[in-house]
Amino acid sequence: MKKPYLFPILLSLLLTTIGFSCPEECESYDDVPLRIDSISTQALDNRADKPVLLPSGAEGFLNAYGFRLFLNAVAADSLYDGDFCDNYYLSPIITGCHIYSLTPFAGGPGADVSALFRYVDQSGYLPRYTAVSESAAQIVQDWNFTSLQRFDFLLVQPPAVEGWYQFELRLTMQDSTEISTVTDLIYLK
Amino acid sequence: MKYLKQHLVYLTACFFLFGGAVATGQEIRHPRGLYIRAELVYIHLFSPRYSPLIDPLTSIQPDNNAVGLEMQWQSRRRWGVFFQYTFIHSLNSVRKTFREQLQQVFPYDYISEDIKGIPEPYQSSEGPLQGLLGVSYAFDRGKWNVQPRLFLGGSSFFPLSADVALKRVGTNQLSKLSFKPVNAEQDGSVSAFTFGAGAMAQWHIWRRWSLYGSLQYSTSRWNLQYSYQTADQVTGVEDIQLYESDKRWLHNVRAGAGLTLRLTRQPL
Repeated sequence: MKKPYLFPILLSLLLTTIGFSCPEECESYDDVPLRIDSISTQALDNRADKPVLLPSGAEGFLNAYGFRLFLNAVAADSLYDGDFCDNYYLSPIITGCHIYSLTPFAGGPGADVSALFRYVDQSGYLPRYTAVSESAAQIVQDWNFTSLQRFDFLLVQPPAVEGWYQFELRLTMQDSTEISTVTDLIYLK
Repeated sequence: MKYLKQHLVYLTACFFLFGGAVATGQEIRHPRGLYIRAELVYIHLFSPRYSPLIDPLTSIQPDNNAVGLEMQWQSRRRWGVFFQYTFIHSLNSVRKTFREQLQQVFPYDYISEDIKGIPEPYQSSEGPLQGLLGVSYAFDRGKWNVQPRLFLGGSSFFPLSADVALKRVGTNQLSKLSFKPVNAEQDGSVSAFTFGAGAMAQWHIWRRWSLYGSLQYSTSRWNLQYSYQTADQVTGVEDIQLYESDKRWLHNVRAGAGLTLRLTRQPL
């Protein structure tokens, strides 16, 4: 009781030490342009709660078919080796996204079947389906320098009959060039 | 009826227990004055669960811990008035219970594990509260003091309000389910009139300090309305339905123990 302020002072020191540890901060940010280096797809089985990648050659399911788009980007400057603090963006950016059927399906080979698919927007708290035409705006966000980017497209209006199906996804870039990838031929039952 | 009988048995036991301690005061250890109390409480809900599509009381589990604070004015003529405030900390895993309930309603859907709006574990700061105003009548015997009590007031809690993704089994169909109470306050809480009875026994330990134990029964009646909106992610079709929960009495029995401090220094 002779030093009534000793305990509060010690407590304050302790709380200050614990509460005010400084996080690592970036002093400057550089905007680094990236260009798409590789593009590929893999079929999805979406019968369960989350989509599962199908091995090549496996059969798919009409009501739960989709494919995952893999995009890899590299820095436009080939000598760039990455920095934790930098911001990355695609250049040129993607302005359009379409899916075409390469097999007889909803209008025959070559038909634009984008309306039969949905892009799965995972950026929010809950997954949300958006039109394929709106997916370009989502794809250009939040690019990372080191990791492969993944985007899911699901067939929500499947054909009535089982058979072999194949799709082509085309990305239109801001400079009017196109990047495309073709899904594996898959038997949907 | 079964629950009512249980409560009556509890109440009768309380009165017999404390009635035995009643006597004429030999030495007043708990004189007229202002008292404050703090206690740790166990609360058990006896009410059968509500049975709307989704039980709005999922955020209150049957077994709960609580902290009770109380201020009491004790008159010379044994009567006292008190105000009691209780912070209830639910000991639950709300998401698990909630998902189980949803699974019964939507047996053909997977329910997302991330449930927006429901923190896990459920925070005590968002738990139920109870504020009661009451009267007591004190019996003193030596160091003992026993007070049967009657009280009324209000209880409030935050009924579940959440957004959930429903993924149809075996297909690409996805829906977003949003449900929330429509007759809640702006902060999302609901409240109801509460009343009950109980008893408290305290034992004087030193100067102005006493130990005490309490047993209380209270009940409240809730009327909750829920909006229940599903938005089909494929077609964009939205469906909104309103559900009203059963109007049932929510009974609870609480047992607690704590410390009493007489604020007034000299016996008045």
